[in-house]
Amino acid sequence: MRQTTKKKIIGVVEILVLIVIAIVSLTPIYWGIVTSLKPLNEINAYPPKLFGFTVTLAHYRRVFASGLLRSLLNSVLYSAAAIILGLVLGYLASYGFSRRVFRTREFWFYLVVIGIPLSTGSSVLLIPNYLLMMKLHLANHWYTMPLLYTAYNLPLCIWLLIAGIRAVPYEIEESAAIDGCSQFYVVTRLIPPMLKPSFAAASIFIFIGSWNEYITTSVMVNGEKFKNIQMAIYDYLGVFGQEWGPLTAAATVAIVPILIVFTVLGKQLVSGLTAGAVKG
Amino acid sequence: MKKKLVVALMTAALGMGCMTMTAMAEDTTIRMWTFLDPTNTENGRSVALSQMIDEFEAENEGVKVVVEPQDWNTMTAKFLAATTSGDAPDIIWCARDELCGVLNAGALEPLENLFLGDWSEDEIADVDDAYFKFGEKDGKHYTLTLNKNCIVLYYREDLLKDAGLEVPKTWDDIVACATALTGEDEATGQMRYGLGQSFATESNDPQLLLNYIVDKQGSLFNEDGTANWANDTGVEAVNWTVDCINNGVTPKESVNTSIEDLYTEFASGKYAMSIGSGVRLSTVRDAATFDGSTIQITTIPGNTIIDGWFAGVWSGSDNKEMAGKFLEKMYSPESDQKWVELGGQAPCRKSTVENLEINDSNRYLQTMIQAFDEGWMPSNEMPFVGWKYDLNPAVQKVVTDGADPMDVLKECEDNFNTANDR
Amino acid sequence: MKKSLTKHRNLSGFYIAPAMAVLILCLILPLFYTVYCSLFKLDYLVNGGFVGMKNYVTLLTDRKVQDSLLLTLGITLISTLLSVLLGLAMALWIDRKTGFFAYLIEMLGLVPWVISMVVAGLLWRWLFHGDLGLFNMILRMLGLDPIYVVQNKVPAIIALIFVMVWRLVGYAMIMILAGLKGLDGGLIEAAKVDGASPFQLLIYIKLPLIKSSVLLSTIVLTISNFTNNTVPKVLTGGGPSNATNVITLYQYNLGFQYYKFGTSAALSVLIMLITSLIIVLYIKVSNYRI
Repeated sequence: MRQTTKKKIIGVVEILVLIVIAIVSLTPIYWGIVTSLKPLNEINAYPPKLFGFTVTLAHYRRVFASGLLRSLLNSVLYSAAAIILGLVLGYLASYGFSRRVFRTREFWFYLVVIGIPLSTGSSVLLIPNYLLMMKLHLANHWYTMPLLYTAYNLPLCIWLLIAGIRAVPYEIEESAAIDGCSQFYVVTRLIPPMLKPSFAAASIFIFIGSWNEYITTSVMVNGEKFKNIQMAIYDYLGVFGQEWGPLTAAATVAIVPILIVFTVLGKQLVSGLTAGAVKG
Repeated sequence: MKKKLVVALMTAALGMGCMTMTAMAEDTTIRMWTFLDPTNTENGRSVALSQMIDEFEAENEGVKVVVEPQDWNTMTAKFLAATTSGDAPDIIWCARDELCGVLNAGALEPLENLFLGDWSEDEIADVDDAYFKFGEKDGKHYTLTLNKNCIVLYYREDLLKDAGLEVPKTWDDIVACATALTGEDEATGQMRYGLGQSFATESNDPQLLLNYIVDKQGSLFNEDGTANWANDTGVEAVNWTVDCINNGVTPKESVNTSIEDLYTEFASGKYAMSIGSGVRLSTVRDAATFDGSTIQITTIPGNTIIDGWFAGVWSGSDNKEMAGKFLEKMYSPESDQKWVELGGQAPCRKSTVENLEINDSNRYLQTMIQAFDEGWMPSNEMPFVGWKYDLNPAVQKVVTDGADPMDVLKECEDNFNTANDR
Repeated sequence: MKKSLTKHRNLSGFYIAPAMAVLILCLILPLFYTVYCSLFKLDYLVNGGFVGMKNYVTLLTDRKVQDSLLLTLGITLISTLLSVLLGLAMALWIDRKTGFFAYLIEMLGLVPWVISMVVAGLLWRWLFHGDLGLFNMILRMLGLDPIYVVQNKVPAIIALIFVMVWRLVGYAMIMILAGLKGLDGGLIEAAKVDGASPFQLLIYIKLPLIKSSVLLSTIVLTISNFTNNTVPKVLTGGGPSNATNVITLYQYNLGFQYYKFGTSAALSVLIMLITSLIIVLYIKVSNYRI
């Protein structure tokens, strides 16, 4: 009897904690969505209105009329290209690191480790980076951003996939070799299916990194042609003012693809990372 | 199967991206960097610009003008970086404080080499103002100002009228007016302050205390370009500002209010008057939770600080002539008319000013024109950067830490002098 | 097993070369180029001559830079520590759950990480707004005085740390949760049979085993917080009175406001050095081996 009361109390506490987490996590998003639906003269109203405002889609119509779809499509292509490139390069490199022994292995691995602060903090090196990319004629092309997004997410991606590959028993490869399978078959057909969760997790990381990148993109490419979704959001933080309505409308639209990616890959996220976490 | 389809789709999409790019090649392409996006149909200035481009392309066969909209915060730095590698745009818009550095870097072409040499004296006289002179170096002119701006005082005409107050003309007027208008707003129940100011160090517009110093001593700087703030005038200005806060006509939280907050708050009815920039009036009117048309602007006592975007032609451009021609086009009397009518912008040419009909809906233009005539800008002999907000920490420190005004002003002077290598 | 691994030695270059080429091109070369730039006077990107270590000396002897570095270090460490601890707690909690409940918390926790930083920062600034913000509306409803969060020193620092923690706590949770899921169930059962309390189980069994996932998330969080320019810029703008003036703001302003690109590059190099040092320190302390 006492056991069940205790259980009940714990259950209630857990629900309360869940509610708190939900409120803290979602309040800004809720506020953003609410703002995007308010008419201009109600956005700044005092006191702020959480409910019971006039609903309008005017801001959404406006952002779509200003070419939001183009930026959205660019961002989808950039992220997709970065995911493909990142997974292929990351997988090959991780395979090399975990299945091959070579003299300079440690050196190259340290290079990957150094890559973590360099990629996470890439905005700090922005101007020299831009100068260099201009000198190499790599800035302002359709491949500029996919290349950079790949590079910025590759170190972590390699780190995740190495651990994933290590979790695959080497015996499988050996017996495949005995059965007469080529190395090519092992690398392209045998191992990848076993890494599905790791690939899913790595894809999410690359996607989030690419999707939300602003400052480097705004400097590395010019104009409408290569504009990404974050630049479209920043349009409403312009010289002539911060326009909350379209800003939040564009930001809300930008969340939709994230939701889609998480619906497809989200379930695999934890198991994918798990493979990478076993080795303590 | 599904996977293959996805991969095929992505490859196709990427491929299409490449194809549209190669199809863009034209005989001559003029690239321009600005913060305006001509494809935006909501913004009057963008519409004006896109009309100019259409006309220009029709007048000059085989020429295409491509605007590459940029983030205005990083645009100049990016332009300088692009010039060093030979891939800069043909036309660049440059902010006031950055222009001098850009000119010193030799990044712009003298307009005399392009079209100014062919202009008659009358034509030059029509554009010869403080802005034109600001873009002058060693007797040559490098820029035309396509967007003029000034720091003004926003006020709510209805509130002033109801209280039987005149539009403030002096510093004492401002305080008196602000004091009378401070109180609870009847419509919303919000506490309304007489005078909005913003002292966040990220605030991009010069605050009243800078205007105060300019008014009292004519300039913010000494002849040698060093800051001239740690003196009696500076202390007076800081005290005037801090008094506004202590007397409650400016809220205490303004120490870290950004200029963006200020516009948002003004629109919510938090202030009866506020500092602001002229070009932002229409956005604030649209966003107001009260009748926006009652918002008017007036000049600040003394010489209002003026600002603008200066457009020039890159000295390394392959198409200087054509780029110059387009710059000339954007500044032509017809185009000036467009900027005014479609963009709601203040006119750049004297002839446009003369022909302008002022009515109740564009009364603000009168104020801006007046500000441009009397306004103050730093000298263009050397770069002056950071001064717009260099004095904001002074107010923050006096209000938050109770620091001595003279001490903090000295610190601000040091910061400015170090940052500007003086 | 070791022997068989060396069998294909000749192909190892083929595997790692493409990735390494991308890393060298996009990360390592820019680093060297930044170091190179930092040795010049580069005001307005005009080459003002080789100045050697002068930019570094200027920065390191500047009181403001020292203060800002210490402040940044403090804010980074506190927010990282809080994120990791909270993430650990949440991970331990939902590790025992399965199905929808666990998935729900995972997704809720991840929301702040997946949305754009600038939008989140701006929205938080608004939520904390003295008159128009929800936070103060709630305080008013409770009959309390409003708090002008970003306008006062201590609340501004707390708000900055709060938003940084908010942003990354879900990230830490997921990484640590993954570590927990990978634990050997038998080992834990055995410890339970031996009479280990839940606390002992955590300290002596679980934590040492999930060291690498905790370490990795700590590293990523530390770098991400230390080099974060967006959140401080939009949330507090460094104020009031330098209370939240983190080093990345200083670095941004050196470049984009004062156009001193040589000094700015030198500061970038210093920031990279410091973050790398922190990582090395973590790795040493936790005895991690590749």
